[in-house]
Order: sequence, then structure tokens, then C-alpha cells
Amino acid sequence: MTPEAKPNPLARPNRAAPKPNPMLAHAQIWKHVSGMAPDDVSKGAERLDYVLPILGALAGDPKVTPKKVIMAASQAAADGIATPAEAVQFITGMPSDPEKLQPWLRQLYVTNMSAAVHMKAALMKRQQPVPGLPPAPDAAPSQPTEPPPTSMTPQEAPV
Amino acid sequence: MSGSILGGVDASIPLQAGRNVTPAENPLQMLGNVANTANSINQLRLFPGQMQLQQQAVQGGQVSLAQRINQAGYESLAPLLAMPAGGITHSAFTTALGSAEANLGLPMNGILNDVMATAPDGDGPAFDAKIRALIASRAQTAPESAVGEVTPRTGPIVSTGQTQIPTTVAPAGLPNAGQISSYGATVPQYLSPSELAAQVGRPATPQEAAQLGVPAGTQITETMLQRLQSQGAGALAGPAGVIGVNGPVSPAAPPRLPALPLAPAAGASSGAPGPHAIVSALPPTAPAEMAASVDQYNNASTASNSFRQRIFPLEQAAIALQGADTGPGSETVNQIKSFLLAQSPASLAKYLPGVDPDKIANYDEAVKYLANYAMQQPGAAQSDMHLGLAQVANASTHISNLAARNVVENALGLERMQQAAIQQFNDLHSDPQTGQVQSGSGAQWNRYMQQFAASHDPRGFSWDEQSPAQHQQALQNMTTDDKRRLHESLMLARKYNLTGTPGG
Repeated sequence: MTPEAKPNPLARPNRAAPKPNPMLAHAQIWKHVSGMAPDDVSKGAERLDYVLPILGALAGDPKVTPKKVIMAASQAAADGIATPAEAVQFITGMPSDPEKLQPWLRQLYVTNMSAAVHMKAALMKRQQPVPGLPPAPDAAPSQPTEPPPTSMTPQEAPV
Repeated sequence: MSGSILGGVDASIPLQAGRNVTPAENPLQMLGNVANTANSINQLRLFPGQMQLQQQAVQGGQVSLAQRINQAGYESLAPLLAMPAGGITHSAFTTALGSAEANLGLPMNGILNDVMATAPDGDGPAFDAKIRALIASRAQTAPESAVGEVTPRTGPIVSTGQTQIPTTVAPAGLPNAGQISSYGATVPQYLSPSELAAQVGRPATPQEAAQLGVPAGTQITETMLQRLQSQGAGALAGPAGVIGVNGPVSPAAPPRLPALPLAPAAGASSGAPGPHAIVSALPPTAPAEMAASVDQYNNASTASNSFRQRIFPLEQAAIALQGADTGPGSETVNQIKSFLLAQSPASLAKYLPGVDPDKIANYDEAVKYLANYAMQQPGAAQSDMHLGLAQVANASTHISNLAARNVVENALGLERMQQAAIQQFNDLHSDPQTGQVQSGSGAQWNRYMQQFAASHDPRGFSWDEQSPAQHQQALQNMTTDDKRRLHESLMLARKYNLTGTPGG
């Protein structure tokens, strides 16, 4: 009968991986938004204006259930905000563990709010119309001041 | 070799002293070197601390810079505070943040982190209130200013003529920014001595009546007129009009009344006030009634102090009357019997025909106690006539035994009822903290006694003095209301421990 190997008390403990700096996450989102095509930014901002309040309500609901999330995704598809395929993709990414559902929603809420800010900032820099704001009456037709970066593949905004 | 030899000293020969000898170092210089070395070592030892200080300074600078950036970001969001309540949505908030980032070049991650540190919300009052409070407070540099932006400030004191209502004003950080709400308890507004002196009613002139909104000829006073002119009528409306309930002051408050020319005070008029007249003072007879009520309360309270002494003769008389021969004409017979009993030995008295020593003793005792009680009645000590009247009005041995016992029982019931009334009144009007009767309560005594007398039965307070046959007879003639009053009286007598005397 061999004795069980006990951990060496003098061994260096495994250090947990350091959490990423929140500033880094913002920078990554900003970089992501900067790489998006102007049309995608406009559509993404419009979509986030719709998605953010729903995500906030779901993430702030202590009794949130997968059923509520699925119904919200279905409603978004029905309203034309997302395609059915996107809604299905969103639902597929939902954690199966009920305890992880609210943190997942909260993370989505955080990421999307930051993305919305950067998208709207990008739209303003490019003098594009911002969703939710009526265009100025004497405003010139929106023209992008700089060509969209072609080297970076536009990525879909979260959600 | 001529001159130098002759002189004894050859100056051309060099000195040989000190050759091949190492010169000694300056001891002071050595000490200086040692000190410098020690100083360097100490500085090296202190180096980690210096590094920490430098790091702290750098970090502090970073924190200060981040605070300045966040504060500038929040200041740029101040226009959101001008939006109507509930108007700050996710869309408006992210647009304002994007504007600050695009136009001012401010990184918004600090503000976003602040928002993320709170519970997420959908669009609605909760999100609106949260963002307002954050913007209003974080845009401030001083902590007290930040707190002041999210807590109501002291507002003006609104006077309704009769009361003064403290108010608060909601700051920009609250959803109801700028609204005035009543706060705390209202303060009664009493008349000043000069205003009291001016409480002489007179009919309102047609012009005054039209502007006050009352029928012409309504009795008004100069004080009321001045207050309405200075304060306006109906300054509060809506929920705030209810005392003690918070609510906004109606923005549509009517303008202040224009000044009216004050007419000279006319004599008191006997006309009844109109339906819309404002009661500006108590009825003329009210002060006198209140004073009389206070006097009566004081008398009852004083009498309550000697309650036991007063009812003791009655209770003893009730016992004595149970075994005494009383009634008209019995006085002389009892006196003879009493004389014989006093002259004869006790053993002989048993054989005297018709003489019962116990009955004679009871008779004498009843006479004594009833006379004592009669003497305690108000006015009894003033003259013989008053005493005679008091004896006639109270139980005595000059009436039949049954009547005397009934009168004694009723007198006991009345005494106990009065005592129960004063004890209950004091309980109702005592301060729960100190247990003392609140000052000014005596003015309510008369009104209280009117209700007390109508809702209680004196027989209930002497119920224990009566026989079961008397109980049965009394209950047969009682209605339901009478029985209810009797029951309440019994309960009250038991509560204050007024029953259970030996005569019961």
C-alpha cells in the first residue's frame, strides 16, 4: 500500500492568472469598433440601442431564467433587429448552468454598453448620423472623413 | 671648500631626515571618509523605501489624473440632467458618452466602470435615477457638494395661514429635481398679541368678498385679511396639501391676492359667517367654557385625592345599616335602648326585653358614619342650615332601613364613578413618556364627562354592594343599552380596583 503523495508545503503556490485590466477590455472593444465598416457601425449602434435596455433588464433580474432570455431573443428576431440565425446563435451561447446565466448576461451588458459608446463616438467622428439623435437641419450629408479600414475584417458586434 | 668648512655647516648637503618614511594620514580626513561611507550605506539601506515613495507618488498622480478625467467626463454629461424625469435611457446615455469621447477625447472607461459597478437596469425610472445621481455627484470636486447633489436641500417654509410647512427642494441629482416637497411636522402658526387684539369681526365689503371668494357680508377680521393678502390663498395643492404627506407643491398655485385697502375695524357683528367664511378665531364663549372646564377638572382631581377617606364612612355605614333598626320614629327608641344598654351590665342586657346590643351598636355606628359623610359634602361646614340640608340630601337613620341602604349604595356608586372618571381621564391624557397628565387637558374635562356620564351606569360601581335579589330586579328592568352601560361600568370599576369592599 503506497502512501498518497502529499503536496509539498514548501512548493510555490500556483498563482491565478491576473485579471485583465478593464482599460484593456475597453481598448480591445475600441479597436474592434475602429475596424468596423461605417455601415456596420451604424447598424451596430442602432441594434445596441435596442438590445441594451433588454440586456440590462435581464441582467438585473435576480429571477432571470433561460426562458426569458429565449423569449427576448425571439422578440428581437420578430422585431427585425436580429436575424433568426443570429438569435439562434445567441441562444446557443447561453450557459446551461442557471447560476452562470446572470453573470453571462451581465458581461454581455458591460461589453455591449462599452461597444455602444465607442460606436457612437466613431459615428460622430465620421460625422455619420447617430441613432436616436435627429440630424441637424442644415447638416451636410454624412460622408465618412476617412476610408474604412480594409485591412481589418469587420466583425460582428456582440449580440 | 674654504668658507663653508670654516662656518661649521655645509649648506649644500641636502637634508636626509624623513627619507624612506611613509607620511602619516590626516586623522580628520580619515574621519570624513568614514562618515561618507556610512552615509552611502545608509542611503542604500533606505533605497527600497525611497522607491516605494516614488511609486506611491506615481500611483497617486495616476489616481488624481483618473479622477480629473472622470470628473471632466461627468461634467460633459451634465446636459442629461435637464432631461425630464425618466428621459435618461441607455440610448441617450451612450450617445452622451460617445459625444464626450469623440469631441473631448476623454476616455469613458471610468464612467462606464462606475455604471457597471451598480446593478444593471432596463430603461426606466431606476436607470434614470441611477445615472442622474452619478452625474450630479461625480461632477463635484468637494465631497459635501457631491452629497448635496443627491440629498434634498432645505427649501422655503410655506405658510398656509394656520400652519407653516417646512419644505425641501430636490437637487439636480434626484429624478424630481427642482420640486418642492413638504418635510417633517408642520408648525402651528399662532396669532401675535396684536393680531389677537384685532380679532374683531366685520362684514366684508363687496370688493373684499369678491377677491376673497366669499359671499358679501361674510364676517372677516383684519388679521385674516392681512394674512390672505400677504400669503395668498391655497398656496399648496395636490398631495402636499395633506399635512404630513410628502408631495409636490402645485406649480399652478394661484397668484397672490392683490392688496386691498384696509377698512377701519367695525364693531363685532352678530351675523353668522357665510358658507365659505374662514374660521379665524374661537367662538367668543369658548375661553370661558374652557376655563370652567379646567376649574371643574381641578376640583375633581382634588376630590380624587381624598376618595378613600370619603367613601370609608359610606362603606362602614352600609355595613352598620344591615343590622340596625332605622326609620322614622326609631331615633327615640334607639336612644332609650342605647341608654339602658349603657347603664346595664352586658350580661344583664341580654335579658332586657327588646334590646339587642348589636343592633343598637349598629344604629349608633350608622348614625356616626352617615353624619360624617354628610359633613364632608360641599357647604356642609358653612352653617347649620347647610349641614341640615346635607343630612337630608344624604343617607341617614331618619329614613327607613331599606331606603337608607339604597341611598348609601347609590352614594357609593356615584363616588366610585367620579373616581373612575378622573382616573380614566388622566390615563387618556397622560404623556406616555413621563406618565404625567399633559398640561391643558383640563379644558376637555367637561366634554369628556358628558360622554362618560352618558355611557356609564352608577349602579355598576356599587354592584357589589347589592344582593342577588336586587341584581335580578335591576336587570329585569334594563334594556340592552342599559346592560351595556352597566357592563362597561363594572369593567371600569374592576379595572381601577374600586369594588370588593367589605360590604359587598
